[in-house]
Amino acid sequence: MNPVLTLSNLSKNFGNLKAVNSVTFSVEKGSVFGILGPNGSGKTTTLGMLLGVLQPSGGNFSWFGEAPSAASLKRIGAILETPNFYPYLSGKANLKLVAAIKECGEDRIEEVLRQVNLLDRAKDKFRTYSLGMKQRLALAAALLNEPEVLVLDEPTNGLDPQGIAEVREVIGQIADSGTTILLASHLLDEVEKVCREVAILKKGELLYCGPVEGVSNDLSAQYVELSADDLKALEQVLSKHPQIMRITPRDKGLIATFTETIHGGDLNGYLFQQGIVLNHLAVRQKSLEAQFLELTNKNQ
Amino acid sequence: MMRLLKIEWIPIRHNKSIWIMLGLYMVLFALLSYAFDKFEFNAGGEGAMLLSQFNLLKFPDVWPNLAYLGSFFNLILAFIVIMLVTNEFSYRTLRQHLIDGLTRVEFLAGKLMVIGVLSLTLTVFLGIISLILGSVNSPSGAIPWTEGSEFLGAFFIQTLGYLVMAMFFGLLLRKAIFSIGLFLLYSWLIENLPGWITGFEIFDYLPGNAMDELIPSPFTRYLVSETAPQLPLASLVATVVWIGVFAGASYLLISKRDL
Repeated sequence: MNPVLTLSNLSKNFGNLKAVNSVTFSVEKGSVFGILGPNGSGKTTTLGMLLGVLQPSGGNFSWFGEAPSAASLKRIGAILETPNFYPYLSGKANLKLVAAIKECGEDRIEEVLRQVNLLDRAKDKFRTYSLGMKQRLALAAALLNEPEVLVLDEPTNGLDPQGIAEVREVIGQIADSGTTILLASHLLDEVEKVCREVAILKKGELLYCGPVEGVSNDLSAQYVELSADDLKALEQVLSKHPQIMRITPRDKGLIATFTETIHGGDLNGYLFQQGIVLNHLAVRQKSLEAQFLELTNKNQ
Repeated sequence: MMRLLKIEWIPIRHNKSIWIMLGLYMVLFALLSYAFDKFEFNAGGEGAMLLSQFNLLKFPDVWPNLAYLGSFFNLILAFIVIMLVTNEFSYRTLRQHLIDGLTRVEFLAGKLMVIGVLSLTLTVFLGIISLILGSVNSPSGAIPWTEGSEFLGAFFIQTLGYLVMAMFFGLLLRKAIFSIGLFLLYSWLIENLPGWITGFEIFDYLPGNAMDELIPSPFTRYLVSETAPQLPLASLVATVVWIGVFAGASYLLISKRDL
């Protein structure tokens, strides 16, 4: 195991508010790691500390196994919240400035501008850009130093569907090239599509950390819709099933969850043996969104 | 060091307001220097008199006199510095610079370098104007032109001091309008209050006062006594100390703050 980033008991208080409360996790090299949580859950605060703009109230973190420093930040490319550039400078001049700060040379400027599809607007002032273009320029700046880790905070926030698709495509390409990606988002769908691992935050607390699929295992992501002419008998028989967890009536049928993954055919066979003839049977996956809501509500 | 200068230079180079203010500074200063001894000076009972009778622009008087004129223009430079500092907050570029791997100390060092270069450039500009006007207005070979030129150095230290103080106000308040307001209120009023109320001389060594005293007004000198101007050493020492204090306080402000 080779973590590029380790947080241990990292905390941040704003007065009495515990914005981030003793969060511990680590991010492996090459992984695409999501930080998921509703607005105000401490995602941006966590990233702010990792990127040196906020002072932690407690705990610590390390990049590349070293104590935090400007040198390690130069190996990272990061966007925190909004794209921040000088409005009266051209996109290209802004990138020259970033290159000087990161000490990475200016020869990649054209390449990254092409990568985010901004080359034809490179000489225009930043303030003339649309929101999507500003976001893409921020991505170009983050990519300028060929970062070992790319940190993105709500990269598609406020973009139209086409902008979202464009930004996601670039992220996908970067992930494929083996760059470690740390992506914070309140959009479950986004994390599900892009990330392989996820840390779920709520009110500054870490609720879950592990593979995206693991969220499902944790919470019996599967449910079965059933209906029969005699619902009472169906419910009675179901409740005796060795792996049954919960039965809830819905519409003209029942929703059943099980402690283990259930095969539809096996369940049908079992019920038929017990004298139940089904007129509807469907095994469904809960969306990550449903699971996420369940997880965050459980911890209220 | 070249890296920090480059990081400062890129946004300054394309900032039109800064160049307009600097251009205004230079043109106005050159014009007023030329016209300096052509003003009428109203000295109470004796009525209006022409400043030209004192020959304000001959060597060695030209050095302290134009340095005094120049100190009024420092306000324009203070606005430029406050704008440069507060822009980094309003555009959130300081935050981004830190994320990109600039240290807080490097940020401060960059701003101090800009202040140093700005002060030096305008000191050289003042020096050239003083030399030209001094040569035109002095009988040749009468007095060595270097005499009194220590006031050029005093102007440099004074400008440096004003600008480091302006930077501190910018870092403290982060918004241009508040910073300029407090800077003016502080240096014109707040700082003078304890002196006016108590009359203690010690308050002359508060930062703004010490910097003002560094280059004394020439007019009382011409009216009261015709002695050669002396560089006030105590004010010089106080100004240098204040430069250190404001730079240190700026570091304390920026080193731990959440941005």
